Amino acid sequence: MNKAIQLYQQTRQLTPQSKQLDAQVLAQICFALQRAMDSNDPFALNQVCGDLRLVWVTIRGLMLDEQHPYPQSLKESLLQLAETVLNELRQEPVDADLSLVLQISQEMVLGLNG
Amino acid sequence: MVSPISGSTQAVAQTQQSTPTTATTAVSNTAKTSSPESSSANATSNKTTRSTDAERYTAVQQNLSNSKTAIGAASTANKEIDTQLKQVRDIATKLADEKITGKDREKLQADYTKARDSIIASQEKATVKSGSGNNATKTNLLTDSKNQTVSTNTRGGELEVASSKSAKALGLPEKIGSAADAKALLSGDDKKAGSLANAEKATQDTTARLKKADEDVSKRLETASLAAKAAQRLENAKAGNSRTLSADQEEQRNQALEQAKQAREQIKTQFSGLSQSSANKNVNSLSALFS
Repeated sequence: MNKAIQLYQQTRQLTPQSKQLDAQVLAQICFALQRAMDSNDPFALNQVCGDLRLVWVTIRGLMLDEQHPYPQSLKESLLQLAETVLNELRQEPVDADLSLVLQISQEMVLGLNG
Repeated sequence: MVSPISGSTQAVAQTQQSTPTTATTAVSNTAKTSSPESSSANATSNKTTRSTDAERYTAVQQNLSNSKTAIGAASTANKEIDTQLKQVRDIATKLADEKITGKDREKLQADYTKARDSIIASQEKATVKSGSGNNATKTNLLTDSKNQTVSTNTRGGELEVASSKSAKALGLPEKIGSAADAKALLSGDDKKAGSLANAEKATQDTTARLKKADEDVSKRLETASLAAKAAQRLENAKAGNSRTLSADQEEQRNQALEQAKQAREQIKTQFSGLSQSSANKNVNSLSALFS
């Protein structure tokens, strides 16, 4: 019984932390993307688009995990958003709708911070 | 005759000293046209002279384009001059014959004057005008006393397109008064100013030089055009209007944004993050990606 309580306490501590960590990772990338767009720096744009691609491929992988605790409808929604973002990121940064990518990613940050 | 160069009235380029967003005038056939007054004006009205990257790249593109037009006009005029010099050689050869006298000689002399005038007219045809009003500049790559300076990038890079700096009518005498004058014109070597050989050599050199300059400017123009296009697309992307979307695409975009907002609200209600409880060992957590 004590072990169960201990595990519950650990989970209570770890889960909000993981949410914040995810928010932090996405927020940093959103900031980098915004800065690269503002500075019109092609090198920075290439770099941040590469990072974003990695993040969204990972999100897609996580949402495909049957054991992920999110409700199915949310997982499906996030999978669709991942496809939208990755479709844009498959293009050259100058051709991609980075504003859309940024807005979607920022919504995720807000959700994870909420 | 002055051919107008279409396009912007002021080509803008970046000088090494200027800030990255300050535009300065840089198109000129006389080295640089930016004066202390204009620099001061730029400083005091910095806000109004600030230009976007796309505008500056486009200005460089325009500058190179103007230069290409000037080279084209000079090349066309130079070809005409080459043909006219052949006529001059024919006429001078006939005039060198002492047996030709009277009306025949007068006619040949008139033909010579006409050919020489045509050379002057062709030289003038090489003049192109860029800009308008106070910013208007004229460039003639055959007769200008100075080379043309062309901005090649937004960081102050410049290219000099050499002018032939040719004398009026390539230094050919106004008249061929006698057979001796004609012989003198024909016999002088290409180093002797005013000789026909000298004029022909100058024309051949101009042809080669303009061809090389045209190739160089064309390459740079291609690069500048791509850079201008890319900068414009980047600015469009930043402004969120990177593409002209069809109604369907616009709707899909709005749907994606709406879906993202709904997902945001749903994630807020979740206890765990995106990376939570992954049983799949092949999938990283987000934080592990950049740790």
